[in-house]
Amino acid sequence: MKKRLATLLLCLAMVFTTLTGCGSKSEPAPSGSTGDANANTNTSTSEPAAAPEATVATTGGIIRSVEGFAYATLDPHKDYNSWHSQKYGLTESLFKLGDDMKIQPWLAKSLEIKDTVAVLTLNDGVCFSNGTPLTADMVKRNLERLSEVNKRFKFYANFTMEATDDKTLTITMPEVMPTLENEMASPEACMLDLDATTDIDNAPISTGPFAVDVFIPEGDITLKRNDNYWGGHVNLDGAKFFSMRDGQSKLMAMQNGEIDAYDSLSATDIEIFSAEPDRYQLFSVPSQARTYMFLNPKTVPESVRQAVILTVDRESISAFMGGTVSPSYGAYNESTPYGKVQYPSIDLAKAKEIMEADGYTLNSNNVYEKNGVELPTIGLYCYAARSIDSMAVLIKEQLTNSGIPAEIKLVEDPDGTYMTDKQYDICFYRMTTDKTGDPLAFIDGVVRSGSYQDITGYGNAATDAQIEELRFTIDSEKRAEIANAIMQDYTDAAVFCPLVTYNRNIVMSTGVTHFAETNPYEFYTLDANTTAPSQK
Amino acid sequence: MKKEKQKLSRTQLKKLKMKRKVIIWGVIVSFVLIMSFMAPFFLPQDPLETNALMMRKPPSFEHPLGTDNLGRDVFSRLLAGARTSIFATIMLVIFSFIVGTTIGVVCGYYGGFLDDIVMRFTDILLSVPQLVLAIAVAGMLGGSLVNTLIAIGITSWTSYARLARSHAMRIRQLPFINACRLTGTSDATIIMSHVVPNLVGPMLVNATLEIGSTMLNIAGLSFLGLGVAPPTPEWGAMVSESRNYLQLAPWAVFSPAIAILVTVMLFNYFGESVCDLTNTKEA
Repeated sequence: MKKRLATLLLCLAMVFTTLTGCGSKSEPAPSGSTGDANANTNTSTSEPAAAPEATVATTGGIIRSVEGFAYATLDPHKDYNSWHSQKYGLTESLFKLGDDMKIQPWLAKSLEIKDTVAVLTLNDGVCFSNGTPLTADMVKRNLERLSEVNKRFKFYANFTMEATDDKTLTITMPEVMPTLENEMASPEACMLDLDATTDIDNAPISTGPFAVDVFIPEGDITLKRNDNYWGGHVNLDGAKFFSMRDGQSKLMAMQNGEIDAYDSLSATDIEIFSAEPDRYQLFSVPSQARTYMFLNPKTVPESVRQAVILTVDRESISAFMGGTVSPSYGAYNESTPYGKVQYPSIDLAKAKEIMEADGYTLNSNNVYEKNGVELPTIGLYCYAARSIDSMAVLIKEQLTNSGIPAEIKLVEDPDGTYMTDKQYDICFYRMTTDKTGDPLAFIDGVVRSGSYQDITGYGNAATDAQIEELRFTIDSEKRAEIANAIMQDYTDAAVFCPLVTYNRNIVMSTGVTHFAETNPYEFYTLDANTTAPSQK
Repeated sequence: MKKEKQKLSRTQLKKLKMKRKVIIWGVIVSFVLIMSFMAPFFLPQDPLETNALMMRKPPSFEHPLGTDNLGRDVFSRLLAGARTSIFATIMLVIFSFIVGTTIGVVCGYYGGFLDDIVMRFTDILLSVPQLVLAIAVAGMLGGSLVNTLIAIGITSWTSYARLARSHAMRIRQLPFINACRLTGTSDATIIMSHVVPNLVGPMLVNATLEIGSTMLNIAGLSFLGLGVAPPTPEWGAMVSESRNYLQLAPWAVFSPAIAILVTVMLFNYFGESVCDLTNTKEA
């Protein structure tokens, strides 16, 4: 008896000792200090913190980072694999999106479109890592392959493409396509040496500053310098990306020096790294990734949907997320010409007014009821990634406090559940809403009837006609006008509610530079100028 | 004669010690049970209320165990979570006890084809690691406390069935059961009046020993996100939620972790003391 009591006490003593050890390991930054965390955070407009003299960046060396997704093949034309291969500096698209989200030349120098004919001119000296020059004919074959293996790009199959000379590709389209240049800025529009590549899944030969050394499917990837890089000298000898999905593992790998940089930091990571500015550089850039809610008109009445949208406090959610997100009041950045539709911000009085106008009254339990029947509990369908489950907890509380009962329904895979079976009341989804600098892609994938994300059943003939008009309109002002009109109607239907825009948060050891730390797109990371910390 | 007297008194003394142990651990466990059921009525703060200004605050007078990542009071969540964790465990153990014992007694008493079928099915369930099967089932059913209990309950009755069957097989061979049969007593009466009372002791011992492992299984599934839906407080889920900010707020992880550790140890000690007492009696 005494022995067991002693064992129990000993165990407790051990746990408390561990706890004390953890507590004194490092002095945490002041809690709730979102502002403090951001104070040490560089933004896209600020210069990176000066590296200490002891760790000056040098040419050569290897940079180590992490990859949070597991994929079985490197074939960049399939699925979204090119987002990873481009991030590694393995592949490059025909055009790229700059820090200002504007299209810039990359493999291609220019694209001139006149009605249904486009002339693509390649940049000078572009060659693959094996030294073979990139020709217009190879571009044609790559685009044809892309249309065959990736359904998002099957429109290339409708084009008639002809290589006029080694550098010029003439494309004849069945209809006007104003977004062709944007599509060519997608990571998928990358070029492979289809003749020389023998193992496209594990070692595609492409044009980037790095080439594959070792690739383990769904595991790590090791890259080596491309000595034939057409863009000039490549600083690094190579790079290694460890497959690591757990946020805590990434944090600790960075702290113990196993990796030199990574992105997608959590609020906790930011707080920890910002406490040591002499060791780490932090960057935060607003990205194009957003989390939004769909409200099901089949299960949630319109008045309740409007009330929900007016009850959601995005500023509060943003405060809880500690610098990892910003409130989002639209599907696109407000600075863009097509991002002028403003979603309503929190207005509890108006929400109450709408509910009361529809016959709802708050009962003694602080729950809305109509004709003596309480409002049924609304299911908030979400998944545990990118803090979406935490956002759901906060929104549940906000709704419950306002008399709208809600409960969280956590699923593992939204695409395998509510995004396909459409069984939900309110659901959450995260997506890069503007990946090509044009509004069509999001509208086409979300608002158009029958599209993958038209899970609210909003899609209708009138909107589809507007979308078709947008698809073929060349004038950018007119495009913005149409896009804004479509999104305004979508807003008024109260089936869509943007919540937050993610910041692209990156941490780098001192000495690391050019890690795409000022670019809002997550598919850019390594380039020829990237440097690793100097060897100590 | 004197030696026999001494021996008797030593056995009695040992039994007395065992009884005392059972009573002490029983009182402690009862206290924990009562506290867990009463806890929701004595919560110092709302365990669901978030507060952006109080995120990850260390333990203080206002928040004895600090606050979590959403500014919620960890102590209040711990108390509220006790009811979920312990209540769910007790419910599951009772369910497994009743189902497993019933199946085991019927199979053991009647034997034959039914016994073969049921026991082979039990063998299949026992051949798969319990938690792995529970993860698969909970994954299919979705995350909720009820689904977690179903997932674990699918396999947890098997150990009771095995034990009850072996005891029932032994008891049915005893002379007094044959005597009952000769007097024309029905099987149902024999089972209820003679078989069950003679095996309920070891079954209860098994049940008390299973409480700790059942609690760990529930906490394990919750930790994996297959248990209660957020924001419901549950100890395993609390550990899972707060491990992401372990370095900034260790109290949010260690509080529920210690609660699980201590509670499981208490139930295990109680189970062992009951087991020791039973063994002493049998000796």
